[in-house]
Amino acid sequence: MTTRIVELRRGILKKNDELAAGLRARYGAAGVLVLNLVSSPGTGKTQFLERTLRELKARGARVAALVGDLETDNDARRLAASGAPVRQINTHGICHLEAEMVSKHLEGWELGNLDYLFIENVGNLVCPSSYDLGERVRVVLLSVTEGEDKPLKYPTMFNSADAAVITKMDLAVPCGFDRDLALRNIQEIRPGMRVFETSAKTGAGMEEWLDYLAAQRGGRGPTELVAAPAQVSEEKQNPSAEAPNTKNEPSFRPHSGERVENHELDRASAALKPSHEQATPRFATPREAKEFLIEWIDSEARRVGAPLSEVERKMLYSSKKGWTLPDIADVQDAFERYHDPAEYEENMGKLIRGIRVSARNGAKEEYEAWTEAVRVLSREDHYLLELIAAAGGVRQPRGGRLGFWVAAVVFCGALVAIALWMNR
Amino acid sequence: MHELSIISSVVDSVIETLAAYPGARVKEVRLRVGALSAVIEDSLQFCYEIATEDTPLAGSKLVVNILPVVMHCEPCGADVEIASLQSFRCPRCGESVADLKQGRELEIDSIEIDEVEETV
Ligand SMILES: Nc1nc2c(ncn2[C@@H]2O[C@H](COP(=O)(O)OP(=O)(O)OP(=O)(O)O)[C@@H](O)[C@H]2O)c(=O)[nH]1
Ligand SMILES: [Mg+2]
Ligand SMILES: [Zn+2]
Repeated sequence: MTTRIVELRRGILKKNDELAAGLRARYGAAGVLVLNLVSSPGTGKTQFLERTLRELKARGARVAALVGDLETDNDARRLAASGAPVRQINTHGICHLEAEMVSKHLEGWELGNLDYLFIENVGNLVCPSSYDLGERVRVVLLSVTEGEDKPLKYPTMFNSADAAVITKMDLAVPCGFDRDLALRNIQEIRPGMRVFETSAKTGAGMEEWLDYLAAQRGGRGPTELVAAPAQVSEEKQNPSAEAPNTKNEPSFRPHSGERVENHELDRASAALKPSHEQATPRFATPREAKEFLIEWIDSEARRVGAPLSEVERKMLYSSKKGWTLPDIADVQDAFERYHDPAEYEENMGKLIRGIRVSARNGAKEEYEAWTEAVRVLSREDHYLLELIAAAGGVRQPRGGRLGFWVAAVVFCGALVAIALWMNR
Repeated sequence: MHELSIISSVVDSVIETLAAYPGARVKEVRLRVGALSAVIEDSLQFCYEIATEDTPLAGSKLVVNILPVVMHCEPCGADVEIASLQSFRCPRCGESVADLKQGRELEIDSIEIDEVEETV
C-alpha cells in the first residue's frame, strides 16, 4: 500500500458554472437583459415582478418570466396576469434554481424576441446564492416587515447581489420600519449597491426601478422598443432552431427531483417561438459588440474563479477614438496606480484564449457570436482588440500598438506615483 | 439545505477520479470553501456521511478548509482580509470594499488515497 495525494482543484459547481456561462453568452448574443430575483419566502417577489412586467409592457418592452417554486404553479398564474409569457419551474424539494433548470425551461423561446427576462428564484436567502443562472443582474429583495437586519443575517446573499429592492413600502409606517438603519445595513454588507424602495401595491418607486432596468440594457431606451411589438410567426417554425442544443441541455442528475413542466400559461408565449434563422446582424454597432465581448471576458473570469475587479473590467473599455465609458479617465488612473499592466494583459490573454477554446468546442452559434463581435469591433480602434490580437486571435496584431498602450500606462502611472509621493 | 447536492457532486467527482486508480481506498477528501460561499461545514460533514455510504468513499474523512474573505482595497492598493461578514470594510483604512478577490470558492482541492501496490 502506498499513500498518494491526487490534486483535483476542481470547482464543485463547475457543471452549473459552465452551463451558466453558456447561458450568459446566449443572453448576450440575443440582447436580452436577464435578472435573477432572490429573497425570503413571502417578501413580495411575485407581486413586485407582476407589476414590473405590466409596466414594462406598457412602456413597449418585450418581457418574459420564469418562476421557481418547490410546488404549485400559483406564482406563474399570478405573473401571467400581466400578459407576459411565463413558465413555472417546479423544483420538487430543491431549495434553489440551477442553470440546468433554466436552460430546460427556455426551450422553444426565441430569446432574440425579448428585451427582459426575469427569473424569480425559490424563496430562500441562502442556497440560491451559490448557483449562477447566467443572469446579468442579481436582485435581492427585502420587505419592510422582515427586519432591518436581514442583510446582516444573510451576508452571503446580500454581498452577491447587484441591486436591492425594499418591498411593501406602503407598510413602512405601520410596521415602524427604520429606513436609515436598513439602508446602512445594506451598504455595510454590499458597499455601493443600488437600492430601490418600492410598493407593488401603490406603485411607489417603480418609475426609478424601470429607469434602472432600461439603463442596464445599455442605454437603449424603452421608447425605441415601442415600434417593435413581438411578432407572432404564422409560418412554420424552423425545425433546426427548435432542436434542443445538446451541449447546453445535459440530462438531469439522477438525484435531482426536478421535472420539466412547461405550463404555457399564456398564449403570449407564441411570440417567443423561434421564427427564422437570424438574418439580421447580432451587433448593430461596435459598442454593442464591445459590451458583448467584455461581458463574456467578465463571465469567463468568474468561471475560472478569479472575477475581475471593477477597474480591471472597465479598463477593457479603453479606446482612443471609439465609444468608451464616460469615467474611463478615472478608471485608467486607478489602473495605473494599482495594477501591473504586463500582468493584466497576460491575465486577459489567458481569459480570451479560454473563451476561444470553449467557444470553439461549444455551440456553433457561440463561436460565431464571438468572431462576429470581434469583426464588428474592428471597425474602430479599441484597446480590447489589441488584447484579443495579443492572445493570438482572429485579428492580426497591428505591430507596436500594444507597446504604446503599455508604455503610456506605465508612464502615466509613474507620474501619478511621483505626484502622490511628493504630496505626502 | 443545498449541502447535500454539493456533496453529491463531490462524491461523483471523486468516484470519477478513482477510475484511474483501481482498487484504491479513499482516506481523505479535502475541500476549499470560501467564507462567503453560503455553505455550512457541519452540514457538509453530516451530508458527507450519508452520501458516501455504500461508495468507495465510505469511512473516509472530509476536510473542509475555510478560506477567509479577501477584498481589494483601492486606497490601500492592497488585498485585505475581511474578518467579519457583518461589515465589508478594510481593516487598515476603514474604507468600504466591494472588490472580491477570494471568498466564494467551492472546490475539491485534493484527495488522499491508499493505492494497491503492483506486485511483479
Ligand atoms: N401591502 C403590501 N403587500 C404586499 C406587497 N407586495 C406583496 N405583498 C403581499 O405579500 C404576500 C407575499 O407576496 P408574494 O409576492 O407572493 O411573495 P413572494 O416573495 O413571491 O413569495 P414566495 O414566492 O412564496 O417566496 C402577499 O400576500 C402579497 O399580497 C406590497 O407592496 N404591499
Ligand atoms: Mg413568489
Ligand atoms: Zn484600505
